[in-house]
Amino acid sequence: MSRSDGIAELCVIIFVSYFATKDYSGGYIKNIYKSMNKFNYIFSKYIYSFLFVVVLVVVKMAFALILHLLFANEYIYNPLKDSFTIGEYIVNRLIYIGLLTALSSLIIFLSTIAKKSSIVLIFFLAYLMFLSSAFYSVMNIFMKTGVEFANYTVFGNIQRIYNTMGSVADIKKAVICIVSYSIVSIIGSWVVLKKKSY
Amino acid sequence: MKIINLTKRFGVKKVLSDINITIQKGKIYGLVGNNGVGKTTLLRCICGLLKFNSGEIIFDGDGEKTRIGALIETPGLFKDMTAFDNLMLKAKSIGYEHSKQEILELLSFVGLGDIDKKKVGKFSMGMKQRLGIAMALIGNPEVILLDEPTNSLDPQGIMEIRNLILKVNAERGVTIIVSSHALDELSKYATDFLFMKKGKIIKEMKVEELLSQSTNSSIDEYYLSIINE
Repeated sequence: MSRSDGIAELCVIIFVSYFATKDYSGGYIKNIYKSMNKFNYIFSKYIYSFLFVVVLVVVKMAFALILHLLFANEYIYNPLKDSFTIGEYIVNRLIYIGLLTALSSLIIFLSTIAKKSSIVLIFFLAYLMFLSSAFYSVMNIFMKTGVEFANYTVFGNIQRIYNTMGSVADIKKAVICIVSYSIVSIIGSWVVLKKKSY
Repeated sequence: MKIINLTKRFGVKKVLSDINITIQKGKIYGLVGNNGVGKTTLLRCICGLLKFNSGEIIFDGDGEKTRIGALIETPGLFKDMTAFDNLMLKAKSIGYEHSKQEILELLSFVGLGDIDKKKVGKFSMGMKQRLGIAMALIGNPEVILLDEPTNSLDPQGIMEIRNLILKVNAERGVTIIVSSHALDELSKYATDFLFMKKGKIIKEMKVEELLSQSTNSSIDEYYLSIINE
């Protein structure tokens, strides 16, 4: 079972930041802002990002399968070696899709505020590469002993899901993370969109 | 449409101050003033892109349902798409049903009928402005706002936009507000003028009055005399 190499996360950050800011940076938003349903506008970006994530994960799995067939290495699920069932593997992939979609919703939210893909890219790449571990260390000061802040973040859950099949409790935490981040980001984006000027 | 005591601030700076104007249906208004007096800000407030601090805008008839189209600063177009696709996307985005035939007729109306399949990235500035006006006409608006539509155009392009504005007003009965600092050009097609200075409307005038007042000097000189009063 392969570990998360961050490539899918990177693809999501690059694609969604560009896609979510295109209307603002190009000025297209001026044409539709007054008449459009603002919640539907934000929600449609979320749905489109979800579809992109599904395609991305499927392509990644197909690529891993090809590598496995060519090099007989452990790029994909191996029923003789891995200790989980195919059903658990599928659940794991679905959770992974959900977490990447939650990541997309965060990117959409920041894009609605910043309106420029460069700002969004710099923020998320810096967070992913440098800032996240420092941020987790600071937040862990406020957590109960034995509880890690990373368990409540999107990136933290992605790493946890990828490294292990996850217990039912882990899956529940991931699902709560997916739902809460998505809802808060979508509603936050809608509120910002209504209040901003263009 | 009536604008009553409209005021807009950016922080502590007041950029629009107690704007009071009545826009009559079917006319072409020239919103005139130097750069930085608040013309674009006023148009953005009217079309809802910018929230103003106080005052109100009262629409005739259906009230808030009065449809407003706008071309503010540069046309916001997707360069990788054709003119047809840009218009169809806007129609779908605002929930307005335009058939394929209607979109093609609109493109012909603005003089882009033979290049509906060309990507917008290859358009000249004049063609983009005409497409921008077509975008403003999606949804059959009653009022359209044009923010310096002839900026960066050559004399041929300026004439084409002027003729298109007259055509839109005559054939579709659309009320038009055009902002510009080129009074001379505006006087060739506008019916009424609103002079702006430092965020305020300082004078309103009909075209007949403007032309009769400026017989002894050029229109630009007359404009400067109003602005510098």
